[in-house]
Amino acid sequence: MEMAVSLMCQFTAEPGSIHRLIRKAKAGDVSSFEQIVMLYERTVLRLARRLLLDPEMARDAAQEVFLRLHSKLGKFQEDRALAPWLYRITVNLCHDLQRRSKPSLVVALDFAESLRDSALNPEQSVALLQQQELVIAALKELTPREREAIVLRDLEGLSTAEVARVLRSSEGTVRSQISTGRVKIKRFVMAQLGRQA
Amino acid sequence: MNGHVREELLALYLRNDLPEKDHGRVARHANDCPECQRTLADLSRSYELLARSFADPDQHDLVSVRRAVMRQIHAGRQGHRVWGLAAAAVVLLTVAFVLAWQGERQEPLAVARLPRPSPPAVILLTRPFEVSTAPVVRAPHKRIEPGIRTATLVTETGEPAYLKMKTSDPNVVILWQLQENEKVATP
Repeated sequence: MEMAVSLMCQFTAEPGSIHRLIRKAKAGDVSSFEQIVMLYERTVLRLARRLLLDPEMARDAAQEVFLRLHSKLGKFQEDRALAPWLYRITVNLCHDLQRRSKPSLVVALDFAESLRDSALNPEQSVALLQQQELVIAALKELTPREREAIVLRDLEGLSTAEVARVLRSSEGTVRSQISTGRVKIKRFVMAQLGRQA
Repeated sequence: MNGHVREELLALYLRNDLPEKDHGRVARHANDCPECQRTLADLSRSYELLARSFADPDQHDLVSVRRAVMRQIHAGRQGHRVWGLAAAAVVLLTVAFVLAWQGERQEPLAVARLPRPSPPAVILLTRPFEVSTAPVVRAPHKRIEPGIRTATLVTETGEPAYLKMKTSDPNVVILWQLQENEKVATP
């Protein structure tokens, strides 16, 4: 809940310092642009990983998002909130990448790497890895739009209205995508867990 | 509410995504319906599994993304600088070339300012020759006008008199046939 609240704040109201950084970056100050990257890199990379389910592609997508931001900075209005714009660009970019790419087989390996430094014992790590594989497989059952709506609402903590703004859709459509997505994930997970049990 | 609540509605109810009036209706039904409670529990379990499964990107990934972005931005700026220098060099070369070309053209222009030889190279004789018995008189060479170096009156027996003018161009000689009553002043 805390994460969601902080994201909401970031989405709707950004501190004046960000606008100052944007102004400086527009004037050609590279270090100000680097500070903007540092402020949003976690959000952008995390969202890309959740949408693409492929860490390598997600890194490329995150880089591309910031390069696009840099190239379009001249036209960016300083009083606009940056976070919604970054969300939208990331979602659109990942959508295009997904359409063009083939399914990846490296997901499980990457998540296994993420367990390397955790404090879990080997059995717990294996259990967590299985859960992650299960969730990833469940997310792959969704259509791209359903996955985008679920990731933005359930993982990024945006409200339905904010998700609708990012996806340039109506709240009703987004609500429908979210409910369908949740039901599909639930059915997939329950079916897999039932099989394992 | 008759029967069970649809799974899609329960999925929205789970995280308060239903409008307020629908939320209240679903809540009242779910409180008394064990099957809807089971469905809600399954939905909740799968949601928690989803929320737990994605760790934040680690610092190493973040730094690698940032470095790659900044490297490309610096490379782009250097690229712009190189292109700028290249464009400036092209402009300078073009200006130098144009100046050199105009410098070469200046010599012919100086030549072109010299007076053009205006008289025709050949004057056709249209009238039939008349027999003249006058002796040949050769007028002394005299410069008559610019461009014409010498003029010689030639009168030969049996031939019409004519004025032979040599110009500054050795290849151009003007032969001017005189009229019958035309006289040439000689010094």
